[in-house]
Amino acid sequence: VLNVLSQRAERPSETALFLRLIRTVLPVIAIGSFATLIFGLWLVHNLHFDFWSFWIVAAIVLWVLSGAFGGAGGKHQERARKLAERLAAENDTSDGELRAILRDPRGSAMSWLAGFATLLLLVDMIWKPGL
Amino acid sequence: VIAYSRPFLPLFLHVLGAMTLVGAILAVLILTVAAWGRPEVAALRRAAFWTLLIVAIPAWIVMRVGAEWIYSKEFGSSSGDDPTWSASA
Repeated sequence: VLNVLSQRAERPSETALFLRLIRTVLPVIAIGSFATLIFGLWLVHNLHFDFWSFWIVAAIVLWVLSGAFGGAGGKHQERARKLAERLAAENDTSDGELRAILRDPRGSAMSWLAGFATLLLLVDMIWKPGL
Repeated sequence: VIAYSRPFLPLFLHVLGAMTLVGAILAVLILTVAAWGRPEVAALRRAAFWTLLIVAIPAWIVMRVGAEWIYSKEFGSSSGDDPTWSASA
């Protein structure tokens, strides 16, 4: 949500503000993400599932991919935030470079791929292929 | 893991709705707190309102419909062991 809002903001100061807000959420996302993995593995152990079952290995791979894509998208957002803060301090007018970074399909693709990997993770956990 | 042998689509919609709802509420909370400290930035208030309207409320509906759907599949009217997680009284 905050990423989309930063792309739609009219002024660099607003873009920078939304991107700074994303940084405040990162610890919550990290805690939630690691807690999901730890409690999930704990459940696997408690319910005596095989740790090497296809759906459990696939879930762990998707968890790693989701984090990797999210991290790559985060680096892109950091680059945009730094530029937006510089422009906000100068005359608060957007320029071609900031627009290009915000509309760069590679940056958006990383965030969307992280979301898609999370969605696949959910499908895998409910469907459990191979079980 | 706890979803073992449960109907796929209702549970998928229920959990997806719940995940989206948590994320949207967190975003609204952060936007509202940020707007409180910066009353001059109207974009924050607008963003909080529209996030609530376009993301959080539809996510709640999807979560609730998914819950009711799985409830109707797993706990018919003749079932005695009513679950407590779906408040469908």
